[in-house]
Parts: sequence; structure tokens; C-alpha cells
Amino acid sequence: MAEVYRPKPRQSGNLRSEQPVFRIDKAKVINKVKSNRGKETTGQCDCDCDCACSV
Amino acid sequence: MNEISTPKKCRDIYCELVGDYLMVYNPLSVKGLTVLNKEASFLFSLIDNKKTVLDILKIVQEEDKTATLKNIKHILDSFIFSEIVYFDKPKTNQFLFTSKPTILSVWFHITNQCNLRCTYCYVYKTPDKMSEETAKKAVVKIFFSAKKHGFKKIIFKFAGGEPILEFNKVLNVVKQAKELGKNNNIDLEFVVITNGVLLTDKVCQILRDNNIRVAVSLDGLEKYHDKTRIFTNGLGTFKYVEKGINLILKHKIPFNISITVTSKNIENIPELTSYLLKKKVPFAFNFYRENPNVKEELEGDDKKLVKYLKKAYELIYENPPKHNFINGLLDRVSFKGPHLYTCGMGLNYLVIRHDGKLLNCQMTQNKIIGSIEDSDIIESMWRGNFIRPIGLTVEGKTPCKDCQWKYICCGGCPLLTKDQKGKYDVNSPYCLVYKELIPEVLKIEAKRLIKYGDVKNN
Repeated sequence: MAEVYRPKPRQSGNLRSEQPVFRIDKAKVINKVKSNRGKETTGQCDCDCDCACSV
Repeated sequence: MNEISTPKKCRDIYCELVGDYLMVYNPLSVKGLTVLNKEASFLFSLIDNKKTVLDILKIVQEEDKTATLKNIKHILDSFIFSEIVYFDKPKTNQFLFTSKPTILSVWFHITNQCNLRCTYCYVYKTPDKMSEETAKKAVVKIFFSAKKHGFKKIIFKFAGGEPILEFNKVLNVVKQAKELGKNNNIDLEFVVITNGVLLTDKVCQILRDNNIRVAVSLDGLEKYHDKTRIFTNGLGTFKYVEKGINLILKHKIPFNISITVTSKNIENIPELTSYLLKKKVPFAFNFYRENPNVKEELEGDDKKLVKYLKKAYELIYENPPKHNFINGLLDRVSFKGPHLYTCGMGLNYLVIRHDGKLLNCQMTQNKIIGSIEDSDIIESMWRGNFIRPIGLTVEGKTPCKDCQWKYICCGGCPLLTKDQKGKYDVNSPYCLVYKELIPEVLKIEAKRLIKYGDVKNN
């Protein structure tokens, strides 16, 4: 398992630094790009790689 | 999901940091790769198969007092959508064994003739070509069997030899197939696999008008391409192929470049990659496979292969294109979704030779498994599958069955494995190359998601 992000410890001092550094509502889970052609996945290779198979 | 539910991480997930993001890949997921930003990856790190949703909320609240149960549930929902986390039962591989392919690919070997004499070609050139009668009969038989066995879509791949030499025949097949497709409610795709030399404005216009995609072979820049892809007089074809590619781009025909990686062009692969990225052309790397027609040594050594492909990948990583093209970046490795077979050979992939004989794969030109005269050519394809043991999947290959990448690699090309190792039920001769490069390809996809990604989960 790769290293994962840990929130930075909050620092005391001026008013600005007392704001939380870590905001859970900024979490992003990215799993697609809009422009994907969205091809069917059959669970089996449909040999549709557009390749010429070493032709 | 409620407060006392315990989220669990899916088994066999692969994680790696990509810049500030964490890429998470579950080889059993049909959702592909997922990337998490710092906040999401922190929450992901808290999932240890013991903590409940409420436990996780409390820890998050230590860092962010504004965090709510709704926040946590929303992120966990995204993890579940991405198939990297589950609550009740883990996903098993059973669905792979029960899913039935709905797409039939048909390789139409329309002619043995070619205007080139590429040094690695597997086709023994003769003047023979498919007759109109054979072509018509083949199309009728394809639709009859496809309909009978419930296929929803057929992909016609026109090849040879050079299919543009028989362009009118290609167009006649397309016309006939479109009519039958409409009558039988079967979707269609057409691809012409060409060397690109004979493409003209007129040919491109017709391809575009008929919605025919193109795959062009290009193996390097200038002299690197010209080492292997030559005319009958031995002269190189690069400048003619480049002209053809520019015409395809001009006419906006969907296409890709097929690059056969050999010992002759491996050093040029990074420069070729850079050239194609600048042109914004999709491409695929296919590793050369030995065949009986080739006399010279073309197979490169694995270290060189890894070294130069990594260099090419670095260039793509720096500026990934918006479209998804990782499926073509590592030979037979396909990231489209988990699967049990490397290709559709003997399952949903059929080759029709110029004389109407059926083959399992275009690489086995002399291994005839049937004919278009057969009553059901798909049954002939199934019966003719010569891979042994019968029904062999990646789960039956050693040591593949214990590999984390088995559902995207599936042990590589079975013909190559048999040729080099004497049997089918073992790993690919390229196994170490695949293992070393799969994470690199995944990083390219991660970078693409980071650059262009959509955070909506539907």
C-alpha cells in the first residue's frame, strides 16, 4: 500500500492559521472523464482494440 | 449504509501515489481506475475493515470539526461506486464466468495481395483474393449465426494483404452488411486495416461517408519505419504513409495507428510517440510475434523493450490526451474491464480467409477450422478452438492464477505462449515486461483522470 496523505497539524497563532487546514468537503473521487466513448464492457475481451494485431 | 456499518477495502487493490493523488485500481472492478485527492485518500486510509462509519467520522472530525455524517457517507458512496470499497459482500470473480459476449468480431481476409513486402508479415503473398460470391455468402452466414447466437453487434475488420486493393469489394460487403444489420437489429462497426499507402482524397471521402474506421500501420519515423515496411522493390514507405495519415486527419476519419514493436524500431518508439502525440493521433503498441514467413531476428530483448516503452510512457504522462487510450499501450493487456481470455479467439472472434475458409486467428493462416459452407460458422468457430485444455481461462494458467494482474493480462497471446513455451496453460513470454509496465500505464490513466476528470458519480 502506498503512503497516504495525512492532514497537516494545525498551527496556533494568527486567526488565519486557526482555520482548519483539512476540509473533508474538499474530497474528490475521480473515476471518469466526460469525453470517454463509453464502450461496452462485456467482461470478456471483444478484440475491439482497433489494432492490427501485428499486421 | 448506516453509522454502525463497517466499510471494507476490496481485495487485491493496487495503490500508488501519483503526484498529490492516490491512484486506486481494483482489477475486478468494471469501473476502471480511480484517483483520490488528499482529503479523499485520508478517508480511504482510515478504512481498515474494523472501524465503523461513525468511528471514521470521529477521526475526521478531529481534523475538521465541520465534518458531518453526510460528508462521510457521500465519499464512501463514491468509493462504492468506484468498486474499491464494499459493505456487505465482496465482489467475486463469478460474474466473469457467467457473462456472455455480445460483440462478434469478424476479420475479413479479403485478399492475399499487397503492394508492400513488410519483412515481418505473416501473410504469404499470392494473387488470390476473395471473390464477390464468397464475400456475399460469408456476410449472409455471419448474420445468420450472429442472430442465432444472440450477438448484438458485429465488427467487421477488413484486412489482407492490403484491403484497399479490393476497395470496391469492401464497400459491397459494407453495403450488404448494413442492410442485414438493419433487418436483424444488429449494430455494426467497420474497420479497414491498411498500410496507408493507397489512401487518397477520394478513398478517404468514401470511408468517411460510410462510417468506416481505419487502422494504419506505422512503425517509426523515416528510416525506422523503412527498415521493415517496404515496397516490393525494397524502398521504404514512410513518406507515403505519412501522406495517408494526413489525409485521414484532413477528412476527420476515426482511426488509430498500429505500431508493431520489433528490435528494428524499439529505439525510435519514444520519438514516434512524441510525433503522434503532437498530431493528436491515437495509437497502439503491439509486440512483434514470430511467424514462419519471417527469416530475420526481430524480437527485441525485454530490458530494451521496458526501457524504451517507459520513455514513451513518460512523454504521454507529461501530457496525456483527453481520450482514453491505455488499452493500446501495452500489447495484449486490456484495461477495458476484468476478463478471463486475452482475446476472443474461439469465442467471439472469427477469421474468414479469402477462399471462404474459417480460421481461429489471422496468425494461423494454414490452420483451417471450417468453411463458410458450414451450416453455422459460429459453432464451427467454437468447435475449432484448438487451445488446450478445452475452456482454458487465465485461472488455469500457471503462475497467472496467483497474479494480481490476471484479469487484465490473461496470460498474453496464447499462440505466442504455445510457440515459445510448448503449451498454452502457462504465462506469456512477455510476463515480466507486462508486470513491470502495467503500473506505468495505470499512472498515465491516473494523470488523465486528474487532468480532465469528472467528479460526478453517475
